Amino acid sequence: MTKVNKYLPFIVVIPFYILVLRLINRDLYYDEVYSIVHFILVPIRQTIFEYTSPNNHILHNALYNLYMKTLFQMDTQKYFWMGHEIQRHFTRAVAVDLFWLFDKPYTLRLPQVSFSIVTIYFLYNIGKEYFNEKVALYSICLLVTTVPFYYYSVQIRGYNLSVTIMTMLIYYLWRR
Amino acid sequence: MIIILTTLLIYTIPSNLIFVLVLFTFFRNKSILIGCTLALILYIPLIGGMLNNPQLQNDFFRTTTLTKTFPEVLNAFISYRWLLLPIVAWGLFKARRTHGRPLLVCSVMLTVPFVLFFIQGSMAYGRIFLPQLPFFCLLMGIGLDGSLNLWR
Repeated sequence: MTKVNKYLPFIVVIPFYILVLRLINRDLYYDEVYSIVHFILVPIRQTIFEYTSPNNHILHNALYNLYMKTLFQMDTQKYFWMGHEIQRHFTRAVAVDLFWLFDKPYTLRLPQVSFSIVTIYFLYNIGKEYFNEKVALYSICLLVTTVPFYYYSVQIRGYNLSVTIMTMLIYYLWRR
Repeated sequence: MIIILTTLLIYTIPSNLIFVLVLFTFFRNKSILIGCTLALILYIPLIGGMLNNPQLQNDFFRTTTLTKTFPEVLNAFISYRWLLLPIVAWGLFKARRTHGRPLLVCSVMLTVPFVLFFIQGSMAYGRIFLPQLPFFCLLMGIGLDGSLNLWR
């Protein structure tokens, strides 16, 4: 394998992540904020045991719940909704936490970018192991130039994680 | 690993169960069934909320899934790369003997879930079909390789 061939996958993927940097600090939109306030910044039992709307992508929201607790030490017990009414009981300190978070959307979007890296890695390996390196390279070229993948690689929803897990599943299924 | 991944996939978004079931028709792997069962067990506490949710009501044989959602999703996957389609089609035609089974898996995974959602009738937004994207990219990749054949 020549040196150029060895680095081609990285050469293909780098422009994608340069473009992703444009989106990573974009303001949160309605569905993301809904997921955050209803299913992420809540006690973990609410994430796992309540399904008030299909916005609850349970595994994804549970992972984010733990992410917020461990990395940012956000006390999700302080954020809770009284039933289905739009009543929030939070202290001034909690309000400051939320606005800090929404002011720095990249803190929430970075895990999504990591999921997309894993997707690209496994898709490349599927192409390389079961076909050839050219198929692997074409596949990841096509993936990083697909508009929905670009947008969902920064969205705080469960769709990107679904793509990652599906790609990993294909890899391990074809291995057998 | 397959058990864990199947469980996690369905536990992320319940509609992923349809994709897993279609995959099972090709890969008759007990691990997939075990993963589905585990995921369904994890969903037991949520069944009440899911059944009572108006957004999850079924309207069997919902035609918009095939007439509106299917073209929209394919259009999004193609992402303005229309000029590639004839090249890919020629490559897939050439590759049908050497890569018959992968082509079949990818083609079925891209089409059959829409039919199943049509029959099941839930409100299928385009974004829930995003897990089909790796199959689309592989299919196009095989087609491009078959057609371009640059380094052979």
